[in-house]
Order: sequence, then C-alpha cells, then structure tokens
Amino acid sequence: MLAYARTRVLLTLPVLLGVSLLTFMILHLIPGDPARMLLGDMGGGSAAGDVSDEAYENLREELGLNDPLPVQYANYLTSALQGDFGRSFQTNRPVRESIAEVLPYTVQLTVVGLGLAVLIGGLLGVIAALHRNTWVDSATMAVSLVGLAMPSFWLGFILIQVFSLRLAWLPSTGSGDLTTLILPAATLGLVASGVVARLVRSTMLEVLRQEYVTTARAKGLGERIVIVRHALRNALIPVVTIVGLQFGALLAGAVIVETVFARRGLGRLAVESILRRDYPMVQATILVAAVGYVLVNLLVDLSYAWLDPRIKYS
Amino acid sequence: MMSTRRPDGTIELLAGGFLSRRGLLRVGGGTMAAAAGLPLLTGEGMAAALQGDPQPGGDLTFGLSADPPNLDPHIDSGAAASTIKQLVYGTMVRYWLGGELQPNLADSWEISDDGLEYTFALHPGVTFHDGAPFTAEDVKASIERMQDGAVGATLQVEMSLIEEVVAEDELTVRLRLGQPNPAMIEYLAQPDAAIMSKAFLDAGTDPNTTMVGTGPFTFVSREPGVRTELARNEGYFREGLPYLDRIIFVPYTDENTRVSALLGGEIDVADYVPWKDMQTVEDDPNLKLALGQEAAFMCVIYNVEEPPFDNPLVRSALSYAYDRQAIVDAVFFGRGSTITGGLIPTSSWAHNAELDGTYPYDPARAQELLAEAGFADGFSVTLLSTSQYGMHQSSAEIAQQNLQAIGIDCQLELFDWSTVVQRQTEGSYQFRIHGLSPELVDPDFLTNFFASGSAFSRSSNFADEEIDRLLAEGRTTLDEAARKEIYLQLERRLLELSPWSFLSWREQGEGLKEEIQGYEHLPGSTGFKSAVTLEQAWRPS
Repeated sequence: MLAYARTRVLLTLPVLLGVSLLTFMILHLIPGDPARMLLGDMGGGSAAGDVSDEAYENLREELGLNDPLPVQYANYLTSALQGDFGRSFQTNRPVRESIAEVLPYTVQLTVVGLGLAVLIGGLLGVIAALHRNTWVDSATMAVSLVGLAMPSFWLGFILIQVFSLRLAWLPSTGSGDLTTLILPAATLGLVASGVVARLVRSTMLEVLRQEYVTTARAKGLGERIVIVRHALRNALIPVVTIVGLQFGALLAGAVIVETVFARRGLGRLAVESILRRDYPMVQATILVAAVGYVLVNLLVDLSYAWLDPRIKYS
Repeated sequence: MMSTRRPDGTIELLAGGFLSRRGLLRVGGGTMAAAAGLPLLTGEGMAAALQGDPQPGGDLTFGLSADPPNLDPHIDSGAAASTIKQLVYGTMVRYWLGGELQPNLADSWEISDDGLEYTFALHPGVTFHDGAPFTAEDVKASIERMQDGAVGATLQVEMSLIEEVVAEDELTVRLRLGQPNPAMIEYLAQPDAAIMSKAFLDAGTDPNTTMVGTGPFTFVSREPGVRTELARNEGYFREGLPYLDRIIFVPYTDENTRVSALLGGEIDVADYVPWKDMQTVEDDPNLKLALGQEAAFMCVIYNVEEPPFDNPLVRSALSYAYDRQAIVDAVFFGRGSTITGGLIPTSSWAHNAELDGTYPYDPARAQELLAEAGFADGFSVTLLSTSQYGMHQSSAEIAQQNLQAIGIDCQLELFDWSTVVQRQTEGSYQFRIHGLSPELVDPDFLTNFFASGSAFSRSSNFADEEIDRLLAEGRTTLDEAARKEIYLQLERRLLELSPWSFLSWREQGEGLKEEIQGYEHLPGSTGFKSAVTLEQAWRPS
C-alpha cells in the first residue's frame, strides 16, 4: 500500500511537469502581449495615451519577455521548484500570496458543491433504481438530464433571479459568510448531480441483481438494511471514481460560477489573468488546479482498498 | 471671486467663477463654448444640487466593472481604475458638471500671448494625505515623472510637449511648451496627469501598493479582486467636503452580476450599466440612472495598405453600406445616435452640422461606388473584432450582414481583446471594429486618432499630409472662428478619404440608488470622469 502510494506520488511529477510545459507553451503560442496590456490598451478608451516605444521596450525587458523561450521556461521552472512563482505582471504582488488568498474560497466552493452533487445525485439515483421503469424513475432521470445539460452560468442566473431578486433571501454576489456560499455551491452541485444520479442508478440496478442481495433478502433482512448496507455500499465504488473525475469538472465549473457570483477564487483569478496575459499568474493558477486534481484522484485510487477489501495494490 | 473652497461647487460655477480668467478665455475658449452649448445644470442636475441640505456621514458601495490592475496614477488602466485614482489624487484642473474645466490644485492660470507659457497659481494650504504640504515642487516632480520613458506614463508623449517646468516660488509653476497646444490644459485635467508628492516619490515607495494624493478621499486598504476602501480626507482643501465617510469599491467584472447586485440592493452604485438593462434600472422605483450622451463611439478602421482598402473609393463606398440606426437600436437599445458626418460631437462648438448626412445608409449608392472602383462583383474580406465585449461583437455582426447585402463576402474574426490589441498593433488585419472615446473636449482629440505617427495611424498605416497640416494648423490657431473653419476642412477631408467609417455614438450611464444625492454624470466624453462628483455625493441618514 505504502509502496503503491509512493509510486503514484512519484508518477505525478512528470504529469505536473507536463502541465507546466504545456501551459507555458500555450501561453506563448497564443497572440497577445502582456506589456501592451499593462501600458494602457489602446481602446480601453484611452485616446490620449500613446505609449512610447521606449517605455514598451523597457517594460518587456523588465518582465523578462525578451529572453529566448527556453531560457524563460528554465527560469520559471527553477524558481517554481523553490516555491517561488514570481510576481504578477499586473499587480506586482507575489503570485503565491494572491493564490493563497483565493484558494480557500475555491476549495470551500468545490468541496461543498461536490458534497451536494453526491447527496442529491445519490438520492435521485437510488430512488430511480428502486422504482425502476415507473414514472418516478422517468421523472428523476429527466431531472438529472436537465442538470447534465444545463450550463452553469444559466442556472446561476436563474437562482439569482429567484432567490436574490424575487425572494430576496440570499445575496447574489460576494464571498464573505456562508450565505454567499449557498447559491454558488448549489449551482455547481446541481449541475454535477446529474452525472452522479445516472451512475448511481445504473450501478444500483446492477448490484440489486447480484446474488448476495437476493441472499440478504432471503435471510429475511429488512429492505432498508438490504439497500443501505448491502447494495449501496457496493454501488458506491464506481461513484467514487466518477467523483474524482467530476472534481476536475467542478474546478472548471468554478471558473464560471465564480464569475457569475462575483466570488473570489482560483477560477476567476485564472480567467482574469488569461485575459490580461499575466503569464506568471496563469502558470501558477493552472499548476495549482492540476495539483488539486492529481491529489484528489490519488486519494480516490487509495480509497478503493478501504471501500473494497478485495482490492490489493501490488 | 475664486471661491473654490466653497463646499458646493455648483453654486460657485453658476456665479461665473473663473470665467473671467484671461488665460482660459483665450486658449480654453473652445472648451468654454463647448460647455455653454451643453445643458449646464438644467433639470435634474440643478434639482439634485439644490435639493435639501447635504447630510455628512455614511458609506457608499460602488460596483466597478473592473478591478484596478494597478494603483499608479500615471498609468491608465481603464475607466474603472481611474474612478478610484481620481478620488485619491488631484489634478491641476478638472472637468466639472457641465463638462467644463474647473480650477483644482491650480487656482488660476495665465497663458502667454504666443500660447507657449503657462503660469499656474497653486491653491494655498493644500496638504497631501501624509500631511506634507503641496507646493510647486510636487507639480514639477509629477510632470517630470510622466515624461520619464522608464515610467511608462500614459501621457508621456503629451507631457513631453512641455520643455521646461519651473517652480517659481512655493505656489507658482511655469510650464514652457515647444509649440502651442490648445489641448494642453485638458491634458492636465486627465486623471492620468495626477499630481504626486515629491517626498513620496523620492522616498521610493511603490506607487502601485499605496496611494498618497490630495483628493477628497484617502486610500485605506485594498484586497485585489475583492475590494478597495477609501475614507474621507478630513483635511480636504474644499472645506466641508466630502460628505461620505467611506467608499468601498467592489469589482463586478460580469455585467449581469453587476446589475443583479444593484437591483438586489447589495451595492449603491454600478458603473457601465449595460444598455439592455438601462430600462430596468430606470423603471425600478428604488434606482435611478445617471446618463450622458455622446460618451463614446463605434467605428470601422481600415488597414489602408491592405487591398481593397487601399482604395479610398472602396472605403467611401462601405461608409454608405452600414446600417447605423440598426447598430444604435440592436446594440445600444436605442441609447445612442448615428454618425453620418464628422466625428466632432454635436455638443462641441466645432461640430460641423453641414457635414451631417454625408454618409446615410444607402446600399445602392455603395454598390455604385464599388462598381466605379472596379469591384462590381464584390470581394472577400475579413473583419477583426473581439468576442470579449458584446458591443464590439454585435456591431461587427451587423456590419457583416450589411456588407454581405451588397455582395461583399465578409468573414468575422473574433478573438479575445488581448489578441485583438496585438493584431492591430502589428497591423495584421484588413479592417476592424472599434469602440473609442474622444477623451478631450477640444477638437484637437482628432490628432490622437488621425495624425500620421499616432498609435491609431501607425496601426492602420494611415498618413495624409493634408490632414497633418490641418491638425497642426488647428493646434496653433488661437482664434475660434478660424479654428472652426480649419476643422470643417479637416473633417471634410477625413470623410472623403474615409480611413475610418464612423458608426454611432453611445450613451454611458451609472445606476444608483434613488436616495443618493449629488452624484452627477458629466456630459459627453467627460462622462468617464464622473467619479469626481462623488466628493459632493451624500445619502440621507
């Protein structure tokens, strides 16, 4: 088990290196110039500003943008390995500080969102499986399909319209107390619950056909115990897998949800940095997201053994 | 009677104030006439200014369309960032309610007969937020900082027109220009021409991390992406002002989110109200809209070296092809006006009414001209625009349809803004859609767009000797009637060459709670500087 974990951790290193190289290359391949974005951008409305070539060249030199690309990447990598992600082109603050500030908000959002997705999705899935081929099944699966198909920005606006503007129960924006967490987490969770519901339904149906379930029923166990203790626990293994994968989707969803609800977070920071071509910030935010994704999936792999004692790592 | 210290700026203006100042009358004459042509303090503006007694105290939450990426007052980073900088820093002169110039850190100024020497009498007793007294040395240090190429100041080119800054005594500054420039005084009114403290600059503090100015509000704290907090400057030189205790700026980059926050009462003011939501804000009994006409315009810019746009006849033909009213209606929900003539706005003394109607929507005429230019069967072109700003994309889509209707195969290239900026700087495009603001009230704003060597001309390869000559003449002529004649010739030439097709003006507005008093939207392109009026904003307790 320990050996397995060690191998898995070591294997993440090339993955992260690949992510950093890919991010770096994409950033430098797409057009757009950080120096231009910094020096007033010719159309933010500034007609009076006509930046001199001297100022422009100075800035590029200062930002290290005139070095050859391999040199820039090597510089970035050496500092990053020492935990230094540089300073933001835009704010001139250390990137690490900015990320440390917003990261808790995104963790909070995705964890609560994921919890809601599993709760709602699991419940819908079990209900659908138990009422297979009835109207209840069709109705719950239709709901999950809507969840799957619904873009999170749209759902976000609907929730704002209903709960903030019509009913005035919850604030539409912000990132302060728990009340500001409810709508964004619900948006994220509802959208992700669709996948979970469909998966739980199909694995439940499969498990319910197994002989040990028939055995459990034959023993005279109550239906509730059969479902919860025998069926659900075994049906959860594929769900744990999908939860690991869904975590990536939730991180992606956070990008949109954080923007819609004007909420602090890693996703919004990444988007704004991309639009302004703030290279150090983009590289670091994407790397942090990648680390999170890799870690969650590592935990998922390790949890199989705990969920299913038959699984052995070698 | 320069009673700039009176708390109510509006009253002082009505009394005439600095109108009699010799210098301003001579060179800034254009500006004053422009202001006079506007509805100066009529209707609501007057009502708000005179409504009840302002009550001091209270906080205001201001929803901004962008988080200021930096705090350096000399580097422009968009209207949202300058909203904050304007309240903390002060400029020598500033725009006020009618869009006219008002003395600020300078009480008065005189301009020599040859238009080359500006002598400013500074307001006595002004202190920076750190307690340091404001003197002529601060003006000198600030202007020299803007001139320094290493700083990257937005107004570096403009400030470099000043050859010498002399601090004559504590409260007198003399600027020497290489050549006359009627827009100089307006450059000094731009928020990007903020006066910084020499002591602060000498101390080497990073102006990106904190702000020390002379303005009505002091910088308290900033959490990037979350909030920036300002507090009342107890030592503000306009006694009794400001009224508000604190202003908290919160960035709402998504326009729908910003409007939701306003409708839901989470914020007191929202800038850049999307045109689609203006009606909703107006209809809401708890909200009102502070609105200005002719704030900014949409246009098509041709890369005049790229065939077929190297032919002026083709550009002229296309100027007939755009359905400008459709853009006003569909993109700006009717909140704008078409530009069928010159670009100098109707509110300006230099507006050329006789040119209006030069380019009506006339697809038949467009096809005629295309045939004349040898393109009876049309051609294929690619229009560059951005998907990042809705008004750019929607305008581009309408233009595309208009061109297809006259047999031109027009493809759209939609990128994010950063990419568009790079493409246009490199000149790698055929033609593009752009939204711009004149920034200056004086018609010399045309220099920034059309002088050969300006950023816009370089990126579109446009250069015309006749235009350059007229621009220079307009700058050096001091007589207003003579200048008007020059700008008529200039705009006629511009329309003939059509390096740009002007499409429409748009309105610009902030939404605010009904109870907020004293906040005013400045007219025309000065509307982007309306935040200065927050110094007289108040709310009933």
